[in-house]
Amino acid sequence: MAEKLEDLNLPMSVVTRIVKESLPDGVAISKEARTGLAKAASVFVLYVTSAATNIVKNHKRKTLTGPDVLEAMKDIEFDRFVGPLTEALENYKQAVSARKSGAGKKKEEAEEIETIEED
Amino acid sequence: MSEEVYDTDHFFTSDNQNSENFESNLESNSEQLELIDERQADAVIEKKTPPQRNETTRTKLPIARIRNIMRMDPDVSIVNSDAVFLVTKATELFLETMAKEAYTYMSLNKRKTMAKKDLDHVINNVDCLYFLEGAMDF
Repeated sequence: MAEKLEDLNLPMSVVTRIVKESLPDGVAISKEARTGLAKAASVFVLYVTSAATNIVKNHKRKTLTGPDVLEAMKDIEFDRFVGPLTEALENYKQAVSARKSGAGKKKEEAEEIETIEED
Repeated sequence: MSEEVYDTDHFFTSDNQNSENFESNLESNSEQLELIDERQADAVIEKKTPPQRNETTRTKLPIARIRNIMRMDPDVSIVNSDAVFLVTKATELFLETMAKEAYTYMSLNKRKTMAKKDLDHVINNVDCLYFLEGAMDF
């Protein structure tokens, strides 16, 4: 696999923004600390993925799903994330299905028009 | 009633050659009408309470990049999009957590610039951050 090391990194500007927004005004972050935070975030992704994959294996499934990630949060002692993540997942699913049904409805209407014309 | 939107004539004339099918078609048509009423009601509700599309459904970190990192795990075969979304959100929460913990430590020492040693301290002292032990050696 010819994957560059940079692919593991998350964009520094976004990481910095997330960190700054969670802190009061007037706090500066050294370059080393910023790099460290970005790296920690990448490690976190791998850590969660590993924990979630174990859950998937234990259930003898192959697909890593949303509930597996939520379970993994509990395993890795980030229980307090479960609440906000569950809410985010609900909204995300609603947004996705709203988009799909919007596209689906247009398709249905087009088909209905076709059948009328055939008569 | 918004009759101009729903062409009820269509429901009763299409595919209705057989009178046997007529009743079952009638049932399914009235089901469709019920569904449409529900959808209208839902649409009204949605207009009053729009789904929180800004805060919780959008991510700041790029989902594609997170998915690529996840796929570097050799044990991972298929990951569904819900899972990638959640990991992205979780990582954002993680960054907030780490920043706040580091900030607590540095403000005790009355410093205003976060340094790498603040992160090191937090990794050594906060249980859930223990997985980062050794990851900061660069």
